[in-house]
Amino acid sequence: MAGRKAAHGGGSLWLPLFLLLPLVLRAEGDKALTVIPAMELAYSSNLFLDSSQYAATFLAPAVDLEWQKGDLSLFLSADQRIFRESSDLNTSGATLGATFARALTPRTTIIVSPDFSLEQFRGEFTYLDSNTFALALGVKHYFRPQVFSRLTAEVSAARFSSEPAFDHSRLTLQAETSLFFRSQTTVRLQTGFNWLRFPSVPLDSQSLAPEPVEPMTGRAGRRRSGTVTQIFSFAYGLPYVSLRMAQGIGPAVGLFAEFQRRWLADDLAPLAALANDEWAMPGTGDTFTWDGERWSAGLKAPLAGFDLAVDAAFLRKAYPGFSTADGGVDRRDRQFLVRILVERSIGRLDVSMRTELRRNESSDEQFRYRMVAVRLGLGYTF
Amino acid sequence: MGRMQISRAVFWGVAFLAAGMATCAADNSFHYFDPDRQVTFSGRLAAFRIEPMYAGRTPFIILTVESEERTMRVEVAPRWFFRLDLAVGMQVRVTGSGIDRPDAPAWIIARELVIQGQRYELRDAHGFPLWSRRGAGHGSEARRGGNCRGWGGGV
Repeated sequence: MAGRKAAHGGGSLWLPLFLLLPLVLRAEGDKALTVIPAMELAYSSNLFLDSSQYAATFLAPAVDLEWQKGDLSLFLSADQRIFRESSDLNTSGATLGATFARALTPRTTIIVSPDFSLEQFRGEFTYLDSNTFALALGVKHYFRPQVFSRLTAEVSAARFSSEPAFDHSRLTLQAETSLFFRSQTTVRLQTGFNWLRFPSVPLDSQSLAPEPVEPMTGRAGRRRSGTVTQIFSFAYGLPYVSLRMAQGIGPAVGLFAEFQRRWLADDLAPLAALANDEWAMPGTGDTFTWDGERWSAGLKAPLAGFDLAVDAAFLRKAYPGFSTADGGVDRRDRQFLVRILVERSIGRLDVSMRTELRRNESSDEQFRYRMVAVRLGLGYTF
Repeated sequence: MGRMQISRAVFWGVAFLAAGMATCAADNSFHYFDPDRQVTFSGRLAAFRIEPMYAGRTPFIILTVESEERTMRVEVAPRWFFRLDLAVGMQVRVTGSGIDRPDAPAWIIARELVIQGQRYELRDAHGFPLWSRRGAGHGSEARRGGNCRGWGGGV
């Protein structure tokens, strides 16, 4: 729409193109070329919402390349997800970027990292095709061997090939200080500010009209329909603080607990049209549309040759300006989340199993769901 | 050329050779990973720094780890590969190829490092470095969105 050329073909061309690049890098560089084909099998009782029962099996080939010279690192990643059940869900992604990290003094390091990402879908989802440019700048300074601070600034701009309403740019400024104590306790205080700008928000929130659910593909189907005649620019800020405490028990066990609070100063009613498309939200950042708290705690430990990570979280989220589907009050969610990750490397073979249990209670019935996802991963590094 | 001149030439030749060997030894370029001499060592992180290794081409993370019995120097990995915020005093468990040197602290070329419950695999069982075949991001999804990759690594 809006005169933009829609992307077609599901991005299947990207992977072979990126596979050729190692040849160029090999000719010029002297370090670290990596190729990682990977395969994941996933089963989920639900994808995003409880609108359909859904099971997915997909193959995820990936290429991961690194070229290193001195303080400069160039990296190139490409991956695909090829679903067995529905090719409409297939995606391809690629990221090309660089990182320049230099120790200015024994205590101070700077980092500059630009990257460019592409993400492409197939079939009806090509309206979510996007490209993103991001630039991160940071400085890290050790005041003492147990105390350091880090300042980070990051700008990014995401452009969607056929859905300008999802275009957005983001500026993040973040400061953190970590203190380590003899008791093996680390305390980290982090504060930051996100500023988001959507340059082309449709004035009429009904322009992203809901469509019927399609159970076979699992998509809750709220794709755009109709024509938007008026657009305007909308920007808002999101400050946040977080406090994290980590406790080591010997070298082999690590515990952590974290609290995060974020504030939305602005009413997000102008973004209601965007919020109606839950498929777009991960790309446009659901992270940046809620006000509330996140409590989390977890454990990490190598156990009998496996690496185990378990964490649980409780989120209380308010979406000021997003009214519920029945036209009622603003949407409010409470989410409970448990994740268990077990990994093991056997030579060049990496095996992993990731389990996620999620329960979302919402004042909007569209967002009430329970989800169980089990993902088996198998990767081999050449 | 008289005998004195020959003697001087031999002397300086040997001296330069010795100095060269000492320099090489000082930048640790003489050691290698011996899979048959692997040890596990636990202790407290006493210091960490970046040192140029392997003919000065690559900045490496080098740890000094102390236990009650001894002090070990640990060669970890290139800075770009190892991403952890280190702090002096952390409990560390290192597994790797041990090198005992009478004139210097014992040295470990780390294959695996465990800190605060997180295991970092650095080399395979034969000592082959994983950074030469695996990118720092360990997958493309980790890289999306400019997340300031490359942080950590001590300094």
